[in-house]
Amino acid sequence: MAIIESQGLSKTYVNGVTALRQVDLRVEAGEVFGLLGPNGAGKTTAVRILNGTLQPTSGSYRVLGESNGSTAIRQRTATLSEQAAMYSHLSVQENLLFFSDMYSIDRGTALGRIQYYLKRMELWDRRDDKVATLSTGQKKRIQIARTLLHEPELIFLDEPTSGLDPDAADKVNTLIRTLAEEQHTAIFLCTHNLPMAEKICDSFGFLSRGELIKHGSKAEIVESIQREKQVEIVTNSGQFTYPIKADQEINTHIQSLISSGHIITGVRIPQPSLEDAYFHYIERSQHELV
Amino acid sequence: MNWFRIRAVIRKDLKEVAGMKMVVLPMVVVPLLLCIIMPAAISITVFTYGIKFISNVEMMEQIIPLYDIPEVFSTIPLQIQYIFLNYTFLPLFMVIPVMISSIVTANSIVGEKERHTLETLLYTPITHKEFITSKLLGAFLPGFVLTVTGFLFYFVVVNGISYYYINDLMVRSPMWLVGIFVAAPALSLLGLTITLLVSLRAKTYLEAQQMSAMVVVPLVLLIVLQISGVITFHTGYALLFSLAVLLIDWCAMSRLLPRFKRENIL
Repeated sequence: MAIIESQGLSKTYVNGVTALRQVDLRVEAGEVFGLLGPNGAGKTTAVRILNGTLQPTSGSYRVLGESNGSTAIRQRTATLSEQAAMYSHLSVQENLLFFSDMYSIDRGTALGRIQYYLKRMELWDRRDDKVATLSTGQKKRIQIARTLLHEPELIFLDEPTSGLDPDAADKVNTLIRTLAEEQHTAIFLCTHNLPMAEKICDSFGFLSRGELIKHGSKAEIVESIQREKQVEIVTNSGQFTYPIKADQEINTHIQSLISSGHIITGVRIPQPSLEDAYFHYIERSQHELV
Repeated sequence: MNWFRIRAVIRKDLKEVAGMKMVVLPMVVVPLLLCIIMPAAISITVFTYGIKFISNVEMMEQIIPLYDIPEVFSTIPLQIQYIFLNYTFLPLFMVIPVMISSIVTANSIVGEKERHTLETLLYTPITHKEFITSKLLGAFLPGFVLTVTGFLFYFVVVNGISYYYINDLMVRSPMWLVGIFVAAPALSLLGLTITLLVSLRAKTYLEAQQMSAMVVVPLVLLIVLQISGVITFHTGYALLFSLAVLLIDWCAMSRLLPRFKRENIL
């Protein structure tokens, strides 16, 4: 069953900028989906449409079975974005209570969940401190607690680790994945951080200049690159890369290098990675545009 | 509409405002000056030293016959003081609701946008109607409450001083009731509307506040025209003026609100 389905989703802003072009997308239940693309590709617009904040110019979509722009989408999902902030003049607990009110959670339940998540985030002792006094990493953890308060069925994450140091980013990633698994929450992740996406996601979509140019599992995407097979031979005087059609050609290249005085220290047949596939598709789409 | 959510946003906005010195300072200083310090200083000075310190007394004397002044205030200094404390202070008073509603609206919309909290709020299930209602009420109510409270202080301070000196109440024109309960809400709405309009374009809280501060210019003009005798305030005129402002509010709001979409404010 699909939790997100879109057909021909397009968005042109009033200033004439087209952020999304005919996006057909399908994300299955239980999937952690990564929407990857460079800055300005339209990822944030996609999230804002799918979470019901913005209206598409054309096309239609369903999220968790709810159709275009329904408030129920925002009730059943949560969004954590790169820039979205908490109220810095209010305390951690006041912030979380306010967002509980936004989701109509009764006070008793809200207080219980706040205690649970703040303890999980190791921030229970800071509950009465103003958000302004927290570090960037702590603020991000409070934001994660905020997104989980109403137990959403789907979480949109838009560059969730932006601005964090690698250690804090890694902790946030692990926390997101763990909590998603514990609560069976689906995740829609937007990022240009490929290693992070590869670590968290089950399936991927590449977005370039508003167009969804590739969509599928890692294996499907990587297999789809019709790249020439290559061999990398490392010698005492450097690395040599040769295109090959059959494995027998490897011996020929090795013998040729030995006969010319090189000492072979390693041989490798590189497999295309998700990163190779990403750059392959993104660069191709940009060349096509030119 | 979910009033639970609306109340939560209003409560949160007020709590946030209370924690910001930059926002609270003008909201405290201006009413304090207008409701207590200035009227008390004027009253005590006039009762103690008369009107010797007023320049252009002749011009003030010329406008005395234009106003309904109770017979008990028979001397020229008392009559001038009556005009000043009742008719000149009223438009000055109107600065309070206009200023407060503009400050709170600017903070709760452009300020939130600037601090990136508006995005977090708009990602919650709050509907467009709930959002607008909470932001409008959250800005209107403090302005109205502070105006009424300020008037009560003004009434007690000015009448307390006048009772001490002349055994009579100086602030007793029915125009105050029209001013506080009709003109102040109407002008407060005007301040709100103009700040909402500014919010669509302004990038920072200070920019929004400075642009919407222009709303007080017509009020200052009213005061100047009134002191110079060009126009005279009466209860009926104040009521007509308030109704005209309400009409402007309604026209402006009905044109502005459809433009005030999530897409335009994010």
